Amino acid sequence: MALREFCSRMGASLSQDARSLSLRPAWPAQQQCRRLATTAADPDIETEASLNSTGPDEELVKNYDPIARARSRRRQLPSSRYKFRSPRYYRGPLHPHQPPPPTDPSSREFVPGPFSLPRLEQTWESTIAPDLLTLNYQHAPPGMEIVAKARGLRPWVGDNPYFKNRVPRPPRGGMFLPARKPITFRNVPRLREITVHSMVGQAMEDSGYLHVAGMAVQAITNKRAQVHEAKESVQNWGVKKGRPVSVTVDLQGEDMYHFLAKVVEVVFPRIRDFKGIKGTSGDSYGNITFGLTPEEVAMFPEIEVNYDMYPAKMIPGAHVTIKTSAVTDRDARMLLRSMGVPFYGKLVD
Amino acid sequence: MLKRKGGKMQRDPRVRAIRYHLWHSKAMRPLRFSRMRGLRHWTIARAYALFKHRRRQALERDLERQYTAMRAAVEALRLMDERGVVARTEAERAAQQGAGVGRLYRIAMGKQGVWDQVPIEYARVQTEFPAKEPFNEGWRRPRKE
Repeated sequence: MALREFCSRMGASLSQDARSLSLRPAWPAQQQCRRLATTAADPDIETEASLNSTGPDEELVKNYDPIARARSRRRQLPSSRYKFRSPRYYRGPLHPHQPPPPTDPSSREFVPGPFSLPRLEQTWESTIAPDLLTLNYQHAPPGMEIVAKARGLRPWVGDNPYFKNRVPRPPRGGMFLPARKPITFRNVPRLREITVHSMVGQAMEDSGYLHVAGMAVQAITNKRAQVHEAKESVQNWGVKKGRPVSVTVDLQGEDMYHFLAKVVEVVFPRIRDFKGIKGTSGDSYGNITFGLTPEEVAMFPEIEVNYDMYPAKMIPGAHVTIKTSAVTDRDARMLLRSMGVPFYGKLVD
Repeated sequence: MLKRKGGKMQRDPRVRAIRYHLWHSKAMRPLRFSRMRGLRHWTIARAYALFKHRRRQALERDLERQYTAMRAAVEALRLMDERGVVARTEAERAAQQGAGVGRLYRIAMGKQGVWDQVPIEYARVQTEFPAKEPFNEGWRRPRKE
């Protein structure tokens, strides 16, 4: 090290001199530093082979305790292996340190899997999708195009003769509902996401309620629950702003299909006097929500087999929102119905 | 769950256990592969992605085939007269007369009952194994009161 430093320093000074004197050095700096066999050895370099040297003395060997030495370290030494760590933040396309793609196992966004082929998904592919396509077929003769109109537009009603052919008013609240396009092979409705949400008001007094709810939701969905804080204080419910009140889980893909299959095949048939989901449920964008009481949540097989693990009074209820790729509730309901979710009462589209 | 016993707060041991397992979850550490293992993983992941892509394309192509076949059939119904003759040209189409032209088409495109939901007895998910009772022949829809 010392030798190399010396060489570089010498080279730098030589070139500086050469620049100032506008002269070239007679020989390159590197050559000058090469140690010849006849010149004196550097005191740092051992002349003898290490095999001939005597080892450490006995006492040092006896007293050497690598475990205690490692324990006494305040911080662990880094492992000798090279470990790539994906950058925590994305700093833009021009930054030299780019994160790997999400498919790379070293990426922070990497999700392993899928590990199973859900039967519900297979059923959708083989049966439900062709059925829905056929049921909803709308014929457009050659040369004709079916125009999808925006929903919720309000026509002008009145005696004014100028109301005729006037552009209709937008929906109340300024929310344009997406137009429903005819269902073709490209847009057969399918499940997109399921959100399981459980709000626990008692968590204000005792955080145990929230933890039990988190564990229950985690158990039935096979995914880590996320905790949410209250946005506003509500006097009647005893909810204070900024305090954790609810847990949610967003399910996609494999987990989503398994969860819905469990709900449809295990939980619904065991509910006493079960009529189905209310026909008025839905947000008119093709997402349908229903609720499960604590008794119904306890019917999930994951909770039932381990029922004693949960304090019976603390098992939470849950809201389940099923998000579909359909843009109207009617289509979403048709999809869910074909998957075995019954609806009752007045159906609101 | 809080219980007051001798002026001392006592917590439910089950809640304590749940808390312990929430914080000490047995989540796997992130995968870290060496070069060869990484390459192997990459190869398998790419192959599987390709397989999924082809499978999805095949499915979509199948749906498209069904859709086009359905469309051709309905179009034939539309151009069919009461004798079952399909008009192939504009002249033939103009020569067709009567209420029987496209009658089957109008019937086929009627959507009555379609929005009354899929019958629940058809809404069955495929299963891995047959049930103990494969098909209940005697089942009848319960009457509405």
